[in-house]
Amino acid sequence: MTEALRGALSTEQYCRLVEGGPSLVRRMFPDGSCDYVNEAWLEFTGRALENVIGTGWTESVHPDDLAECLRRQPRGTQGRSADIEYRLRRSDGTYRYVREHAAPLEDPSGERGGFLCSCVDVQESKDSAEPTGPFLRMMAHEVRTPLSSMRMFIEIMRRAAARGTPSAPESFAKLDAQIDRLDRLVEDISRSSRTSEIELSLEGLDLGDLIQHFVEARHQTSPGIRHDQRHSLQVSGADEKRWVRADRLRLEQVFANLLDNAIKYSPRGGTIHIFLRDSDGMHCVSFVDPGIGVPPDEISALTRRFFRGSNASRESYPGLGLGLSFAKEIVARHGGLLTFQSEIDKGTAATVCLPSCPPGLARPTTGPNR
Amino acid sequence: MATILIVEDDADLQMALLEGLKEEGYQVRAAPNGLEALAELLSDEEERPNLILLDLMMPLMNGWQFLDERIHYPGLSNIPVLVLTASTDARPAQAAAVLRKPIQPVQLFDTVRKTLAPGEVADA
Repeated sequence: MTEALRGALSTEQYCRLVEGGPSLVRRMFPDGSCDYVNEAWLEFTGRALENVIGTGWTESVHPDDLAECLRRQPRGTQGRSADIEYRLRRSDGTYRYVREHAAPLEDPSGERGGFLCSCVDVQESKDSAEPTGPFLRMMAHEVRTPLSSMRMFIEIMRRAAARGTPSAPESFAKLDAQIDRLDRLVEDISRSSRTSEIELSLEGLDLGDLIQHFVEARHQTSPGIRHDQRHSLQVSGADEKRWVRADRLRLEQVFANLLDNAIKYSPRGGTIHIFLRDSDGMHCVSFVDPGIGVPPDEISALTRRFFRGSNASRESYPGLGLGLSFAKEIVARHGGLLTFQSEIDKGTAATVCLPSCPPGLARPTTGPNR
Repeated sequence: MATILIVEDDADLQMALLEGLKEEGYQVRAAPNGLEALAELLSDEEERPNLILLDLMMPLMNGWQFLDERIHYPGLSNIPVLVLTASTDARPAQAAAVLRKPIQPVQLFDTVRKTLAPGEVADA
């Protein structure tokens, strides 16, 4: 009955829907070639028709997603395909997740088959939704790696004990370091599910002094920053007094996070510069790395929970995507700012700026503060 | 003495594996990603390892890419690869064996031994 009530679209109206609509439409054959893309597809990708017809369109698909994108080939004309999501490069060079529906092509000859594929940009809903599946998988990864190290260190200690030799103090320190790592992870995860504000215990601190201590502690737990000595640290501007009112432990968490990121996203190694300076009545500390950088239009998204840079796939840079949002929150609670400057393949500078405090007010205090 | 190349980006785990396998009597080297592992393998043909221990999630060139890439170079595809992964379902076809993290050291040593001497009867 409903069918009887419903009008029918003319072929011309269908054409208008495809040609003028917001969906990106393409026609794909079983060999992966396309002979048709609509205006929306060309506009989104910023590419010329002659460059995408055939297999040229695949250059707009993220290399890590292309296999899945092509795998949805139909087996004959009966072939059906589930909707998939993959990253498509937009005209500004950034990859956006699109969700694509593929309708099998009904070719009377039955020879070419293929799909009429229609997709829309779903990046925004992806950014705001908690990605439960990938998140849990990544959490498992983040837990299992330090657990592997712990098991190996314990096995080494067990064997030493069996030989009657006491384990070196370093062995215990290595185990401790893994426990700290798991502890930080738990903190990040539990923090992400809490909405309450972080409580601060403020005291007068010299930012340079705090950084010096932080770096020294870091060198003690992992000489050469990491044992493989691929990264080195250089601190400048820490000798001058820069008084702030801050929570020592929370700020150290922020610095640890920024330094860990600087190391992680500089896979070729190099020197990480930490420098202190004053700017607009604020005291600032920057962590500057020689790493892979962040695409310019993604910089503002860095502190968003679960955000992943389009040049840092989970397969290559595993992580939960929680650290920077937590760091931003801590810095904001201090009345400060966490900002980033970055250039692809050159590196990233992460800067924490905190309001300066007159030395008289910054004297060490005891007890919790507001 | 057999030589093992550990390809693992996590510096702590890399160190743990180096120490553990050295303790087992192997000569061990390490690379922090697939790209540097490949460079090392190609730079010294005389000193190629007898076994590669490969992580999957790594920067610059991940484990899957390393497995795909190495088949293009003569002599590299003969070196058995043990994959170490935190994933519960990854099963790269080209790996001699897949070990799941958190690794069990004894199981790892056992698998390394068997892979290096495939003719050996394990449980006599």
